[in-house]
Amino acid sequence: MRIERLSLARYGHFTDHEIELDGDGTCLHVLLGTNEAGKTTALNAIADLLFGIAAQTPFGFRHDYKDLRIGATLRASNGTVLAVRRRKGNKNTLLDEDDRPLDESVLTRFLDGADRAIFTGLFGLTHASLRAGGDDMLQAKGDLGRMLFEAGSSLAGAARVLDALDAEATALFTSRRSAGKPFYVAEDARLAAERSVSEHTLRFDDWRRNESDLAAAEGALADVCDRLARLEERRTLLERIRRTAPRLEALREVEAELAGLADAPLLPDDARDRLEEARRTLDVTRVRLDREEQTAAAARRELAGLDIPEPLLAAGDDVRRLYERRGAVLDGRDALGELLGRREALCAELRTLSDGLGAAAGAGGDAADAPCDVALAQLRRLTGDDADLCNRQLDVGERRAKAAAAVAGAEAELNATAVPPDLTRLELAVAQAQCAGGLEADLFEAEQVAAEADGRLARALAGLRLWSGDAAGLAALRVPDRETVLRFEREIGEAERLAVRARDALAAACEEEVRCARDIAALGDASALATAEAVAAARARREQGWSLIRRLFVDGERVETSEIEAFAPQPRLIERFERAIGEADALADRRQGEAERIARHDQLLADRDAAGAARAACEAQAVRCERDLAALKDDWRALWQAVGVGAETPREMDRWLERRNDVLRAYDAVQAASRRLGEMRGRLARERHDLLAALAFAGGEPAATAPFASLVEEARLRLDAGRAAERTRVALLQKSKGQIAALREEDARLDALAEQRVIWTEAWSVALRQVRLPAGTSPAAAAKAIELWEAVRRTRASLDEVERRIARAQRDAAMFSAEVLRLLAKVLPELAAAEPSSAIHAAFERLQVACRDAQKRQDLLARIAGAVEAARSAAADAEDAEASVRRLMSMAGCAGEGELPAAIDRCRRKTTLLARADGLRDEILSDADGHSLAEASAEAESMDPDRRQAELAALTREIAELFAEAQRLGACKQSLLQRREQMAAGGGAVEAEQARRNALADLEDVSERWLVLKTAAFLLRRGVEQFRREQQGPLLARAEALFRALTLGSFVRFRIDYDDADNPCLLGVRSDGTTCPTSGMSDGTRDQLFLSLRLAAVERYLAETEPLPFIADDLFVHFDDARASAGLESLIALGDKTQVLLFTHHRHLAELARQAGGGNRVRVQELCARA
Amino acid sequence: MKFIHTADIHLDSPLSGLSAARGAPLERLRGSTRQALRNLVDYALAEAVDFIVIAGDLYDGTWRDYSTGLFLVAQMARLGEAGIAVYVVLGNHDAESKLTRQLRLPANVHVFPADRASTVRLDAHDVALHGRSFGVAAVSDNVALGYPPADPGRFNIGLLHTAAGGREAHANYAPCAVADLVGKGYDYWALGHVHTREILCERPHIVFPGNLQGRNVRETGPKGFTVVRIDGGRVLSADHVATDAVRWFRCRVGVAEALDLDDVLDAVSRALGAAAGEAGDRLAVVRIELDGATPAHAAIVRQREHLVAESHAAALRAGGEVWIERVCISTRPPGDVLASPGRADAIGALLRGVASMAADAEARSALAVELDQMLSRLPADLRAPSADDGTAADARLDRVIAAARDLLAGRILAEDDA
Repeated sequence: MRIERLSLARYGHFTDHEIELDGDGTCLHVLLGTNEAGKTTALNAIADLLFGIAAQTPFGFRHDYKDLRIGATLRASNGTVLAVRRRKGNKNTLLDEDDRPLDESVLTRFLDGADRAIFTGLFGLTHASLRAGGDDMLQAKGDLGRMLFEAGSSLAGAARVLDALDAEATALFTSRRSAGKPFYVAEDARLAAERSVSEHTLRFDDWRRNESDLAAAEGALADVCDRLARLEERRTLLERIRRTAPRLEALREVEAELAGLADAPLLPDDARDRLEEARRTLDVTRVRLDREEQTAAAARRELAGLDIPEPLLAAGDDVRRLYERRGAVLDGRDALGELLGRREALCAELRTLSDGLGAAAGAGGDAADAPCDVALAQLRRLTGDDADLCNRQLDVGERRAKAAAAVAGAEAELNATAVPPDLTRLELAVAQAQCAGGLEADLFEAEQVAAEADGRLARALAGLRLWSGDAAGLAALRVPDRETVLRFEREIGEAERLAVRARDALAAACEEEVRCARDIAALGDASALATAEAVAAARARREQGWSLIRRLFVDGERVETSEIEAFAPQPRLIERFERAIGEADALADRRQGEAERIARHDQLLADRDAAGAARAACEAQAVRCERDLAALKDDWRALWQAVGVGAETPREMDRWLERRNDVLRAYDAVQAASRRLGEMRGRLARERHDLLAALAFAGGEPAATAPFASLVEEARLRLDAGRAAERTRVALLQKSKGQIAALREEDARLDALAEQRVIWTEAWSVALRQVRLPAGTSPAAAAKAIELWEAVRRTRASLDEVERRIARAQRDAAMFSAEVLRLLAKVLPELAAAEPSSAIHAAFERLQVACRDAQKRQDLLARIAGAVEAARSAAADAEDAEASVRRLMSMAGCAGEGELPAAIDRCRRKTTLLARADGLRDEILSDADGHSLAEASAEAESMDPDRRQAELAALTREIAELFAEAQRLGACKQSLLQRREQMAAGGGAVEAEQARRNALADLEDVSERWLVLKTAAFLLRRGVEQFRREQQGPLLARAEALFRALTLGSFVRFRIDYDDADNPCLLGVRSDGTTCPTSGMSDGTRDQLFLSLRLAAVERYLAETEPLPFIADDLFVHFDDARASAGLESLIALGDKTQVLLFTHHRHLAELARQAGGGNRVRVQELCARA
Repeated sequence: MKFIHTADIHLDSPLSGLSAARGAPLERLRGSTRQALRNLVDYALAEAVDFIVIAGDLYDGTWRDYSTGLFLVAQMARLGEAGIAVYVVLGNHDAESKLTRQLRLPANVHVFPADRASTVRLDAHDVALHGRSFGVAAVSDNVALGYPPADPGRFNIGLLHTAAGGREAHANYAPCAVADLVGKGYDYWALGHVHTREILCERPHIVFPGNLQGRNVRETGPKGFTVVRIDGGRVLSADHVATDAVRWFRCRVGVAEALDLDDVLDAVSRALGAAAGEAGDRLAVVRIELDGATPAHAAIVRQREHLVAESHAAALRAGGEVWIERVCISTRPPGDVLASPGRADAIGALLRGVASMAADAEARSALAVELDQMLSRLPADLRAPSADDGTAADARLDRVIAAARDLLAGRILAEDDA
């Protein structure tokens, strides 16, 4: 299939763009476009046109998805033409030229089963995929199978997939145990869980033992608890008596003493405290009164001795303010001296600067006489320009000298180089020889192929059973076709199956018949059964009896005696009739009861009859089947007798026919190899003659017996040397021209600098005049004058500042003196004559003394008022104390204060005894465990204290021993209960079993993944190997020729070697006979090897199916020009078999293609998306 | 009157197929069968049912931990305290179990003998219960035929552990036909042994209630017991009540429309959300089965581990407590690159090689030897089919080859896309 016209109506950048790809005889279409010209877009458009636009296409950025359209006119190899368009969508996306939907099947004959993967993978080759293919070959380490598979499939990276599968499988499991691998992790977990299940499983015996121990412990504990309860009861009684007896005795004593204090008064509890407090208060208040009166008197005396100057105190703020200013006035006086000195120094400096400027300084060096800022700036700029001009003139001068030296050198070198001879004739000769290159290797290969074909035929013939003749005889046999054999196989197989089935059916029918008979026998005697016949007979007999009786006794008929005798003897007619009724009823009843058994009997009889009939039918069928089978086998044997070969089973003979075909294919291969060998030998002789003549014409002296490849190499070396010399001379000429041009440029720069110097000189004169400098002043002198003028301006400004500060200091001192004099005249006239700063200092000190005296006077007045208030308070306290004593006397009924202490003592004793009696009663009741006072008293009196103590001690010992035993038994029971609870809750066996199942799940998961990975690797490896076996010969033969051409004869053929694992590896053989593995090839050579294999694979594909266009995208980026030309020639050669498109942005490649193609075999057209 | 019909408790039987490596929530999984039984007892107490019938398989046959029996006793005792009697026939697992012989059950539990079918009459409810336990694990007779005739005037219930006419994945023990059971004239047949709830007949009712708790991915959906309500000697209703603490789901997720991995994960998230909603408060254990010819196939194969990890993350966001048991990938590329063995390139050769594997004895033998280095290391639980079972081994080899072919298709595509 070829694309005659590609229409990018609305796709990517393109709008209504047409690419014409027709042209008779055009073998290579070169589509030349700059970056972003739309090469990638056009390339993708072809695949999208043929196989549909992807849902997420990146080429819908300019036109809406629904508007995308690609069109093409396609021509199949049989001449059929089809014009189609493609839109984006889910269905009905293939359209005719009027946008009517077309069925996808119209493309079938153009694609011949190829899918997008094949089209883009096998028939599309980009620079990147070429490099990736080369890299993959490096990774395959020369493994021939992988290399052929990669080059021969539409999908890249089979080697990577295989390595990844192996790596993933190894990561999961290896035969050698590795603890970190998931398989062994899961297996270890499973084993650990299994152990855990065993350890934690609760066994019945353990449970039963625990239950028994628990029951024993509980019984013993209950017994001990009973005994403890009884002892505790006795001990409680004894303990109660022990507690209450002493208190009962004490209570009796207290009650006796209380009887003697019946007349004692009742006073407040704190009566004694109140009396003592009143007496203490009276003593203290007397002392306080004396002390306060003395304090007041002393303060009044001190107040009288104070003398305070009130006017000075009134003017205190003014004195303090002036005293604070005094410091600043003294500092100003000191600074004034320094400022005067500074003024003198600045005046001297100004005079020195004026002297330096001389006449230019103007009148007296005043800053106002300095030149204006604009003039000074102009002068400064010109000074800078002068330096710049000087530097540039120096630089340009140096560069010009160097350029002049370079021109002289280049001319000398050119004169020394010889002019190369004309190489045209030699070039033509080499081109012709290269076209025929590799013929010797081809011949060698053909010889090998022929030998291998002979060997294969011999082996195939030897392996063919039932035939002892030669291959030609075998070919001449008129064997039955495969369809006939398969038909016999089918029919004989079917007949055999039918015969087996008939035999089985016969056996089953016999078995069924036997079974029925057996079941009938097992059911018992049929005559004993109340069958329907038996019941009918009994009823008939009953009816016969009734008929005789009715006729004799009801109708009065005469009945023959013989008829009656036939039923029963005369006197027994009625009895026999009743028996007949009974028998019929009994039989009917039995039939009712045995219904199931009878039905079963009937069914079995019917089944036996049916089985008999079925057996007879099966016998007939079995005989028919055996007869048919025998007839078929006879026909089969007759068929092969006509051929002259002994007949085995159809399946065996089908295999024999397949093997016969293998032998015939080997025979065909032998004949083809032989023909090819003859052709190769003749062609090599012709090519060799032509090459020798060409070399001799070119001045060489080739050996007539040299190998053909050596002759080609010699011619190529001669041609390369001549081309190199030519390139060197052209380069020297170009270099000389460039250096002369550089020298001229430097001259022009020197002239321009001289003109700039003249302009500067004029400007300099004007500037000097403006600043009043002499006409001949140099730029350095002018720069010095500018510095002096700036110094004068700075000094003058400093002098003005000093003058202002002197005036301010003198004014501040005068104002201070006047204020001091005014103040002192008013408050301290005796100091008015003193120096102002000293006088204000003395006034300040006197003011501080006056302030201290005033504060002291305030303190004394406060102290006097406090003493008077304290004395008044002490007098009031004394009066309260005397009132308290009087109240106590009244309560106790005392005549005088002296009787009070004794009355208070009696009252306190009575109160104490009452409280003691109450307390004792409470304690006794509290200890009596609910008994009353009288009951407790009775209990205490009932037992002798000595006997009670001895019994209590014995009880305590016994209880302690029993309690210890109870504790031990309780702990034992608790432990057994706890154990029981743990057992009932489960000891972790369930969890361990769950963990075991989880580990099993992991193991299953890991093993499943490993099995699949390992199998996938196995399949891929076998697939690769099978492809190698099938394709190695033809693919390598073609690829070798292509590789030789692409490497310009550097490599002449391939050799197959075997690695350590006996895998076949590919080596390249150089023209000198040395070999090179793929890992030893340069990147570019490896690319060329992959290209050779890929082109060979494409040619193989084309030989078997409808051709597809081969699309190359910037393939030759890493090829030098010569190898790129060779590559282009390979593409042109491929163009004889199918359409070839080359997209490139290298214009020189397009040019090389034109040269390689010559005539109209190559068509170059520009591509532009913006058009 | 109402009673509970349950069977196949398989107390303390572990849940299968859950990966420890991916951190399955063991806390939630362990004791799920105990929780299911506890839920049944809670229901019986809350609803004050009149009695309970158990149609066999209280434990796993090979399980020997006595604490399992103790737990059963404790739960039966709870029922006994509430005056609820329990009637039990032993199944094949119980017959095999040591626990059956060792355990003394509370007085409210009646176990039917194994030597013959017998009858228990509940006069308070006018009910006659007929049953016969398994004495040995493998009972191949039709024991239903030996059951006594129905008691006239009573509601007759038959307890029977049976595979009925045979069920997939269940041994065909005590086989019988529905007609055999109907012919007995009972009002209700309480069957056990088959783990899927099934009502074989109505009037009379013949019911498999299914097991109380699903234990593997084959036992999906709600699991529990049947509560039967009777009035006037007739069955008013036989309703299913779920007791499962963990619910199993098999979610078949069709991803034919998915363009990339995000679309696939969206579909997985939707399936997980639906499972979580259906499971309610329970833990949902889900097997995701991705299926369909999809443009995302290459990405799925290339990023299988990522997909699985993201699916687990989606389970965390599913709205309930969800755990993924496994992610099974059965997707295919849309235009199967391996679908046309007649193609002329190297892929065609590979295809022919894969196709010929099925019939190539030498290749199968070589592959089997290679795989045996792993298979021989597997424990007995996983090693089946046994080495001498050629047919099963062949079937496994076929299955592995088919899976490997799909994997290869994905990898080669993925490599092509990369």
